[in-house]
Amino acid sequence: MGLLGSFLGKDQQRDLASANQQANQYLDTGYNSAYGDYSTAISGYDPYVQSGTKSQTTWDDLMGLNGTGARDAAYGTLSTNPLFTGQLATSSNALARTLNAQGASGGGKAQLAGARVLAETGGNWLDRYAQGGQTGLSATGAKSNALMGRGELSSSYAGAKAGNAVNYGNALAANRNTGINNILGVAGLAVNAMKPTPTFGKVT
Amino acid sequence: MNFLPGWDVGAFMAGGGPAFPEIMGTPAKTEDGTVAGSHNANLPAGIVAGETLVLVCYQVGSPSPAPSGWTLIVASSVYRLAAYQKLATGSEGSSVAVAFQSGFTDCFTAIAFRVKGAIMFAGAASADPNATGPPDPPNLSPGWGTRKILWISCGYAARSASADVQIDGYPSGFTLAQTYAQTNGPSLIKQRLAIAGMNDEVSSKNPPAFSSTPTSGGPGFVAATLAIA
Repeated sequence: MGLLGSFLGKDQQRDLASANQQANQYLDTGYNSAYGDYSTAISGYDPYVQSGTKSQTTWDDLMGLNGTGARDAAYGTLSTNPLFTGQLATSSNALARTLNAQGASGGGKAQLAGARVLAETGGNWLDRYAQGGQTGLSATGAKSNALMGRGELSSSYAGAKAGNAVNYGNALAANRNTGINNILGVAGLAVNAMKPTPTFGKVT
Repeated sequence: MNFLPGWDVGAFMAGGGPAFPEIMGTPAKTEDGTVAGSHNANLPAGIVAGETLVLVCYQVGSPSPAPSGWTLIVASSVYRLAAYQKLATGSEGSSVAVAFQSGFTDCFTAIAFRVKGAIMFAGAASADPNATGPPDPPNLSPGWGTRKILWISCGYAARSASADVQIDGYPSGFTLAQTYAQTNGPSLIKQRLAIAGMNDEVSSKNPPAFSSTPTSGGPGFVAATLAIA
């Protein structure tokens, strides 16, 4: 624009707009990047949250906390799970061998021992489900923290954007009178130039 | 800790170790020639809490939903021969609703039976649809080691309404609970479903085939092997 533009304040307005635009671009870039990172982190916790929730539900079901229907269904799932039945088979086969070797293969002792094997195997699985629930709880906490972080990020972003807008507005308002002030300043010089030179008190 | 609300530990451990599970009473069969998307499968009489109920049925469509409260043991993929189990409460009533995959309709065959002393279940199904018969239950190795297992062979055959098929022989050695159910659908396929069991203390089992007449033709033949311990 040159001297006249600077004189009238247009260049300053353009500089302000450019600076404002650049500041917002930096903000947007940073915000989008950080938001994406948070979102990735949040979704990364999802499988653990879901798995933990299922584990906790299964534990509740097996314990009968959700009613006998849910309990029996959970037992059905357990009794068709190859991992559970494999462990139970191994334990009960070993028990059968021991009882037979001791000649104690019949009667109440065998039944008690069988019940113990069943309870221990089942108890181990209950512990696993409980552990899964704890893992899910930890993942839920971590996810909550990440969600809070993302929320704070959004809040800060909005605040920074608002601050930029206010500053930009203030700067524009301050610059609005630049041209007038400059014109008034020049006019003042001209007026002063036209004034007669005072002669009072002049030493001649 | 009470982790044994219904499992019959006494029967499971009869004789000092895991015992052969025992089929109780007479299996109930369902032969429903009505073409519909859901049917009721008859349950056996005299159900006792703590026993296990086993339901073998034909469910067109895959995946078809499990009956409420029942757990899938195994199912074939297309002409779906499915087996379910349920820890009995004694209040099951005389039948259970079985639905097909949404949008599918057909007639229905099912066989349900009671088992005492069962805690573990496994199954394998043959590839299907298989236009070459007879139904031949596949080898099953549950991973339980050598133990007393009740083995159940399940066979299913279906042909069009204009071409009949019969399952006319059970697998050799499978003499327990021999039962068949059959329907003649009014416009769709004829269904033949059969089961038979045997006790054997082994780690795996490849049951012989059922015999059928004829031994070929569509829609096909499907079979499954169940292990119950």
